[in-house]
Amino acid sequence: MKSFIRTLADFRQAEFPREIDLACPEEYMQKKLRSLSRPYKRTEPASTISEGDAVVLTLESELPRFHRPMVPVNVGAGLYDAELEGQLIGHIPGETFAVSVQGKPVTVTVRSASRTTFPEPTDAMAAEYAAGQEGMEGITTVAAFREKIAREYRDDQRQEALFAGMQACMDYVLTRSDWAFDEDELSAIIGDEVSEQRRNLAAEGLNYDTMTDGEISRSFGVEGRAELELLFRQGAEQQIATLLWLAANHGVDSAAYPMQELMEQDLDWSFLEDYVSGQLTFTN
Amino acid sequence: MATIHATEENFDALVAEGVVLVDFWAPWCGPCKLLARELEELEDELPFVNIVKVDVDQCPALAERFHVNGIPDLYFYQDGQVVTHGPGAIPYEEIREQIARMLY
Repeated sequence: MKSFIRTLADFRQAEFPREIDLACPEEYMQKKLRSLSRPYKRTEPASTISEGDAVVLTLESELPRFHRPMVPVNVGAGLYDAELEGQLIGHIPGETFAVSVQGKPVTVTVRSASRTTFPEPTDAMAAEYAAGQEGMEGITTVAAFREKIAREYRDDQRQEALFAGMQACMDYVLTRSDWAFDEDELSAIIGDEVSEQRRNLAAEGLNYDTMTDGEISRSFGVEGRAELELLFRQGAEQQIATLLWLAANHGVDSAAYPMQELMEQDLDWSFLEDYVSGQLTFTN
Repeated sequence: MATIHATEENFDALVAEGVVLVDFWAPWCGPCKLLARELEELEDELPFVNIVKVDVDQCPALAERFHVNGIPDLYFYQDGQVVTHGPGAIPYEEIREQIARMLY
């Protein structure tokens, strides 16, 4: 007995974005241009709060999350609370005022506010930046740097579209096919994974076999051993299913090979890459 | 705040307070340069987060103390305690989300 495919979904039915806009958004460009002017950036006190400012607040509320003596916030970043951050704009350092968050009143005192500004990049900044960077040879003007950023953005978008398409096809097949998993093959893969984790944990002075749920939670970001073992099993199932599918696309009768031999065969993903590439169209 | 380059001697004092990202890196490491760019952008966005860089060639004892087997390796500290760490050039969004969990 070994793992095999009962029914195999057709990856050509997978949906993924096929028309890709390669125009570099100006907001992305401006962020990248900061590389040139970063040595000249200035951080100064802000007289009135606006988006992007760094503020320190004291909050009073019946909501525990919004009852804190000192909380640093980047206004508009949405990292703390977008609803609260939006109500800070226009207020001034030292001011105490009331806002409403999640329908509850919150009293805000602005302890400080600062703003970082970047000067307009110049050709001199571009030349200075390029002198210290690999891959920046010949880039001596802002225009040349912009063109480099736009070119890299286009390349990244093409690559990301290809990966997204391949991933969508893979997810489609893995979730819609029917697989029969052999317990011995699963156990072998899970055993390898556990052995590797044992070694990694031992290097940190931990013993995988005696770790408590709390220790496992801290090391792996899961609830405990039961969830971790379930993840190991799901990982092993995915590994086997992927390999079976890969073999099927190379005309290999996976049922005729032990899993270890399949793993050692030089099976590549060019069939999938070629398919997705042929589906993509690019504009700009 | 600014990015600070640590030494064996000043490391513990640098991570003692607040949210601190410790970047174990080396000048010859390509992925470290990718992470360095992300950390520069992070410093623009979140100036209240401290960034400490540890050159593993200059500070081998610190690299050994943290069992750094590969670089870059980014440690997230809060008030002197390691909260988590991750090897490789962690995506910008993941770093932001981890900081938000620590701060808020």
